[in-house]
This record gives sequence, structure tokens and C-alpha cells, in this order.
Amino acid sequence: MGTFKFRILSLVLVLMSVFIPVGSAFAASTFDVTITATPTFISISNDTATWVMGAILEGTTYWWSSTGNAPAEPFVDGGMKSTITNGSSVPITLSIHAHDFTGGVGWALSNTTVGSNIVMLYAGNTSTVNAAGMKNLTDTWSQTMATGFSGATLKWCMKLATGTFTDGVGKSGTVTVTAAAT
Amino acid sequence: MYKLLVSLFMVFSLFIALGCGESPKGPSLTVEPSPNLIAPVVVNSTIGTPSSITASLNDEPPITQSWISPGKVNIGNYYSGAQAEWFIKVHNGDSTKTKYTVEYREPAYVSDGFVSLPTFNRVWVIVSESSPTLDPYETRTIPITLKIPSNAKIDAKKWEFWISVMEDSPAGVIKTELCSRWLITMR
Repeated sequence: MGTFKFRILSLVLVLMSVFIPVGSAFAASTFDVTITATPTFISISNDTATWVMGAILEGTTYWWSSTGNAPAEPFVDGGMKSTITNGSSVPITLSIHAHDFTGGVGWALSNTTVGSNIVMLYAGNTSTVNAAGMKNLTDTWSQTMATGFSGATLKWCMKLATGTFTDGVGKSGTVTVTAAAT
Repeated sequence: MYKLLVSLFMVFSLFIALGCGESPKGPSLTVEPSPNLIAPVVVNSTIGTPSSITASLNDEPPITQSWISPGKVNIGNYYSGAQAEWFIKVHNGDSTKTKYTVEYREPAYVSDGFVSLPTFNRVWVIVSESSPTLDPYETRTIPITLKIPSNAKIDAKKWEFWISVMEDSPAGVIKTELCSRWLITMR
């Protein structure tokens, strides 16, 4: 009987010795890749998603504002066209960029001057000092609208300066407002 | 004699067991939960997979608002050849089915001390569902894997990339894009 118990005990210990190394093999080492993340939420919406301009003229400036004209300076909520609603749980940075207009020969966005099939597009928001302080939009880089923003809303507007045209085909462009944690 | 042999084997096994606890090993991935971790995750291999998503989320926006989470993911001790996986949650706040594009994006800005890698290859970021269609008010968990080949040379110690989530919509409209920032620190 004593020998039988000893054999059972031996078997248990041997089995333990087999399993212990398997568990230990996953112990942390200083070379482990680590990942940390916190439950922050990034959330914005924009209430006016289109700017339908109709027929437009060469060498003219058009406003996407509450009145369709240049807003009073400095810009205030009442003069803006669209509202970005922020539901993020952390301060965010809002940036904006645009893409060249397509349709027919297309229009390129410029940050220097208008020209033949070249236009300039700008964005401004409440607290922008004046029209000259609006951000020039191109498809090359993003412009920052607000940093460390934690307000509920941000109102904004745009203006388009046209150059000259070589066709009368309708154009469409895309503007993207981006939100990310600051 | 038998008892002696068994005893020796047990002692030998015990030494092996203790030794393995301190032995070096290949690359693996662990998660260091922060106090507000989205979901407790335990992984024990080079590929981490969320084992459960049970935690309730504080500050969650209303169900009618589209959102993503988390806003930032920090990966530490990373190196070429390693594979790190985390996930992004995408919530559709619309009352209709909505198709999204989830993809790698160059950062619009970076944190202090971090850079955007000009040589980064977007195929190193694997989005398990890059074009998900979400039901009304659905929240989808989408795994994101960072897998850089072992022969890729990364010059920067700290670098950053973003994951962009955007509703599919036709050209000619004003879009909103939500981004999750991924900050990588090389070992």
C-alpha cells in the first residue's frame, strides 16, 4: 500500500513538473512588446454637408456663410454656415483639407494664386480674426482649425476664389474635416 | 532503486521548472492595462487577441452619435519583426446602414518627440475589416495589426501613424473623418 501511494504521489509530482514549465514559458520579460490604450472617444459631426454653388463666374469670390456674403470680422457664430458638433471625451484637434475639383478639365487647388483652372479655397471659423486669416485648403496638407478643442460646437465657413475656366463642365470637390486626440 | 530513480527524476523536473521561469524567450506581446483600459486583454503569444470585451465605457457618446475608440494607442518595446495587435471600435450613430472605410493614414501632426515615418509602408498595417457596413447604432470591434518585416529598417525611436475611419460618401461633399493615433516606441 505504501508503495502504491508513493507511486501515485510520484506521478502527481511528475505531472506538475511537466506543466509548470509550460506556464512559466509565458512569463513576462523586459523585451515584451507592450500596448496601452484608454477608453477615449473621438466623435464629431458636421451639420451641412454640401455647398451647391450653381453657375459661377471667373475671377470671383464666393462665400459659404450664413448670408452668402463675407461675414463680419472678427468671425462670430452668427456669420458662419455650418456647425461641427463635438462629442469626444478628450480634447481634440480639428483639421481640414480638400481635394482638387474634378469634372471636365478639373480645377487645381492652389495656396498662392488663382489661374487657368486654378482656384483657391479657404476655411475659417468663429474667432478667426478676418478673411485674410482664413486657412488656405489644398490637397497637399491639412490645416488646423482648433487644437485642444473640448467645446460642444465649432461653427465655420468657407470661401472660394475662382480663376479662369477652359470648359463649362460642372465640377465637384471634397472637403474633409478630421478629428483626432490632441 | 525505483524510489531513487523517481526521486531523482522529480528533483530534475523541479530544476527544469524553476529554470524555465527565468529563461529568455522569443518575441511575445503583453498588455499593460491602464486604469481605464477599454477591455481587459490577456495574450500570451506574438499575436494578441482581445479575450473579452466586458468593461463598461465611461463618457460614451449618445447612441445617435458616430464615434470611434480609443483615441490613442501606445505600443512600447516594438521592433521590426514583431507583431502587435489591438483593435478599434467603430460606432454607427445613424438610423440607416452605413459603410465605412477604415485605413492607415499619415498623421496630420505628431506628439512631441515622435515623427511620421516617410518610409512607412501602409501594408505593414493590417485592418481586418477595411470596408465594414454597420447596422443602425451598431458598434463594431475591428482588430488592427502592426506587422513590420524583420528586415525593415526603422530609423526613428518614436514614430506615429493614424487609423482613419470615414463614412463612404460620394465626391463633392464635406466629409468628417475620425482618427485613432498610434504611437510607437521602439525598444
